[in-house]
Amino acid sequence: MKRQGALQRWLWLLLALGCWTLALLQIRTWFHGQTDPTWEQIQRTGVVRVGMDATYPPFEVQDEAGHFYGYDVDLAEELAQRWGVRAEFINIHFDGLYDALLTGKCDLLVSALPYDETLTEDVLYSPSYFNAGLLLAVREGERRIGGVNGLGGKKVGVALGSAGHLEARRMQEQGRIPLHIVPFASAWEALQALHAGEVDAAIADSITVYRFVHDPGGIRYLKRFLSDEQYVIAMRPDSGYLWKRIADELARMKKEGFLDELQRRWF
Amino acid sequence: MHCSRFFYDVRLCLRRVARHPLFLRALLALPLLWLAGRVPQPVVRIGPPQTVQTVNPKMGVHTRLTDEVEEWKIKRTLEMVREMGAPWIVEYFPWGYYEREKGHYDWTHPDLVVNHALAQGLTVLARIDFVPEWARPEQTTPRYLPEEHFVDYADFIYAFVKHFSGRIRYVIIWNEPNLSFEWGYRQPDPEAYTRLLQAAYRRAKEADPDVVVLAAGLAPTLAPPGSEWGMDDLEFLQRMYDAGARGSFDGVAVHAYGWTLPPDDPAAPDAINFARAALIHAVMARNGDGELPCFITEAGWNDHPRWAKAVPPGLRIEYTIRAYEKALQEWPWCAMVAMWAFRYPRPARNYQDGFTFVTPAFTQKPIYSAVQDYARKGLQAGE
Repeated sequence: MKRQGALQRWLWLLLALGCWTLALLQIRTWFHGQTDPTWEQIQRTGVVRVGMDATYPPFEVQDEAGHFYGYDVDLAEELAQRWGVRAEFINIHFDGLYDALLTGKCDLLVSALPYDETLTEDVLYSPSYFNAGLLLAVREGERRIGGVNGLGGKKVGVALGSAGHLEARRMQEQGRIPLHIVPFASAWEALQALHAGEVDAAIADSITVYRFVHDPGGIRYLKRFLSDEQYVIAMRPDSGYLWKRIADELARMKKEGFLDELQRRWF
Repeated sequence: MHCSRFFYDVRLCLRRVARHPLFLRALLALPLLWLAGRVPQPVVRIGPPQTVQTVNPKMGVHTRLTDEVEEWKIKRTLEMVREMGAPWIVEYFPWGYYEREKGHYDWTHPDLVVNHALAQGLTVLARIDFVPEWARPEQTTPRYLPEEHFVDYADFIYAFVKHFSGRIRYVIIWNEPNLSFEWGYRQPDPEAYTRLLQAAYRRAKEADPDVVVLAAGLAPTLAPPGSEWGMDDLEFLQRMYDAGARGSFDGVAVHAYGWTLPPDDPAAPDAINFARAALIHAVMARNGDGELPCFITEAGWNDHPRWAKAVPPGLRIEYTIRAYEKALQEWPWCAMVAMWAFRYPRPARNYQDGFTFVTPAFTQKPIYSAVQDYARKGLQAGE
C-alpha cells in the first residue's frame, strides 16, 4: 500500500515535469516564431541579409569582382556562422540604409553605423562593437603628457579640417589649453610627424592611430577617447529576439577576444 | 451721515488689508504676474534686409534647416551663408511635414526659414518631396508615391507656390527619381516621373505663372541597364524627353558630385565627376532645350578620413573653389552651383560630416574661410 502511494507520487511528479517541459517548449516556440519574424525568416531560409554601404574601408568594401570584405564583413560572417546560417551582403547607399531595413530589403545593417539617438523609436540598436572616436597619440617614450591638460605649450599635429582639428581648436578656445596646432594634409602625416619628433602629440581617429601603432609603430595612444563614435548594428523594431542573439554574441566575441582579433586583422 | 460712514468703512478695510502680512508680498508679486501673463515676444528678430557681397554670383550651398528647431540657429546659419558670399541656397521642404492631413497646411516652420533667408539677401530654391502617410500605403517609405496620389502632390505644389508667391521663385519637383531608394524602393520609372512632373508643372503655373519649375536633380550613376537599384542619369533624362517631358519644366536641377576627381576632369558617359553636369546639358540641347538653364543643386567634395570617395581637406578646398569658378567662367548654361551641405542641425557621425562647411555648433571649417576669402577677393578694391 505504502509502495503504491510512492509510485503514484512519482507518476504525478513525472507528469508535472512533462507538463512544464511542454509549456516551456511552447513558450519558446511562440517567442521565436511569433515575436520575431526576422529571426524566423533567417532560420527558415538559412540566410541573413546584411545591408551595408561598401565604400568605407577598412569596414566594408566591394572589389571589382563584387566580393565584400572588411571588418564589418568578417563580423557579420562570424555572427552568421555562430547561428548556423549564411551571410548575404547587399550594397546600399548610406542614405538609403534605414529605408532598406524598414522595407525588408535586408535583415540587419552592419555598416560602420553610428548610434543615432533620434532613431531609437524606429530601429533597434545593438550594443556598440567599435569606437571610432578621436584618440590622443604621443611618442612611445613620452611620459609627461598624461592627458589633454598636459598639452599646454605643446605642438599638436592634426589633419587639416578634420574632427581632430576641430577638437584641438575647441581645446584652445573653450578649454583654454595653450596648445599649438600644426595642421597636416592627413591624419597619417600628422602621426608621421609625431613619430619623427616634429610635433609633441597628435589627435586622430582611432582607426588611423591603431593602424600606425600596428605598423610602423613607435607611438602609443592614451586609452581615454576624446570623442565617441560608437558603431552599432541596426535591426527592425520587431526583431527583439534577433537583438538578444546579437547582443549575446557580441558580448561573447568580446570575451573570447574575437573583436580584438578583428582589430588586429584590419587596422 | 451714511456717506461718511461708508468712507470710514472703506478706510478701515483698506487699513486692515494693508496691515495683513501677505499684502506686501502680493504687492511685490503683482509685476511678476503681469510679466508672466504677457504674450511672449520673439527673441530672434528677422532684422534689416542684407545683401550678399561676392565676386561670384553663381555661388550657392544646400542648407539643411528642415529639422532645425531653434530660430536663432536658422538665422545664424543663413547669416553665415551670406557672410561666406553665397547668394543662393537650396532647401528641402518635405511635403509630409506641412500637409499631415489632406488640405490642411502648416507653414510655420518653412515661413521662418524663407523669411530669414530673404532678409539675408538669399535666393531660395525649394526641393519638394517626402510623401505624407495618408498619400501612400502602409509599410512604404516616404519616397513612395502611388500614381493615384500624383494629383495630391500637384495640389501641394499649387498650395506651396501660392503661399510663397513673391518669396520663392524656384521649385524642384522631387529628388533623384532615378534611384530606387528615392522612388520608394521601386524600379526607377522615367515615364511615371514625367507624368508627375507634368501634373506638378500645370498646378505650379496655375498658382504663379512666374514660378520657375525645375525637373528633379538626378543622381549621377552608372547603374547597368535593368539594375534593381538605379538607372543611368543620362538615360533617365532621355527617356523623360521620349515620354514627352519637354515643356513641363523651365530648367533642370543637376547633381554633380566630384568624388575623388578634380572639377576639370573631362566629362564622359562612363565617368562620375563634376563635369558630368555638361552631359546633362548636352541631353537637354539634343532635345531642343539647350537654352534652358541648369541649376546644380547638389555638388561638392568630401574630406572624411575614411570614406572611399573622399579627398584630403586641402584638395577639397581647391576643388570646391575651382568648381565655383568653372561654373562662372566656362558654363553659361549653368545658373548656380550649390555645394552639399552647408551645415547639419546635429552631427551625422559618419562620412556625411565630411561634406559640411560649418559644424552643428557653428565652428567654421577651413573650407568656409577659404571660400569666404575667394568670394571677397577683389571686392574691396572694386568697392
